[in-house]
Amino acid sequence: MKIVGVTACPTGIAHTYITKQKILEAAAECGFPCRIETQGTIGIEDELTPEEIAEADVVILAVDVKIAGESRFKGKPIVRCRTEDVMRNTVAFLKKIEKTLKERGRV
Amino acid sequence: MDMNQIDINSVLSIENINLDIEAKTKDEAIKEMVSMLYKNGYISDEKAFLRDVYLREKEGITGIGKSVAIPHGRSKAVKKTTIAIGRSNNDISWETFDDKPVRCIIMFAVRDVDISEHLILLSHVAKLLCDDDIVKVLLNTTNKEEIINIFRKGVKE
Repeated sequence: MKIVGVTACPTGIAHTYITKQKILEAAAECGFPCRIETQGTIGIEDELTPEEIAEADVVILAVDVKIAGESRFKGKPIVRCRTEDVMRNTVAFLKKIEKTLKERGRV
Repeated sequence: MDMNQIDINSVLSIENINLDIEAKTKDEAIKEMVSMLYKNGYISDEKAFLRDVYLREKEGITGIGKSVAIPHGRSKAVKKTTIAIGRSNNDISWETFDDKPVRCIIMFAVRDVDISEHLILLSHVAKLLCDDDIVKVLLNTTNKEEIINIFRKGVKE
């Protein structure tokens, strides 16, 4: 399962980056290729390319605030949640997404 | 940005690290650390900064697990963006992602107009708090310099 995603939190200072790290580590553990863009106070970092988005099986938007460029993901399976939802058991979170996508024949 | 150009010293100094805080509760811990920042001249108004820290607390959980919490505030009351570190010998009850109490508190005090390299450093420090080896040092060392050194090394990697 190829993952792309965006993280963004209320102050854009801490959780944005912690959530990103948690997703990347969990994805590595599961063997899922993963790229995460951050939208924090310092702006957009690690911006996703159109190619990465096109190739992704799923888009994870772990965001507490409105983000820029959401229309880029039109037509993709999107999992939208709060940053907190990803922090608790990130591996289980990703595996659940994989299971759902498999049931729908998307991966 | 080349992270070798800016040093962790610009946001983290010995004077803002207290490895033996007296607080027994979350509110006391936040207050004690805000008071330390005020005494050291990093914030201009304790009450105003406390209010902004609690505004962020209302938005969601700041106990990130493994005994670490990261209360933070972006505030007009901050004179200079900085990190404060407080550690307790006792468990402090806190809302956390692993439902366990907190021992080490990393507080980010951010100047409201700051969009500088300081924030880039803070984002790197936040990321490093996911690293078990770094958390181990934070929870166990008796040497404040060691804390500064592990973050210095971490942000350059």
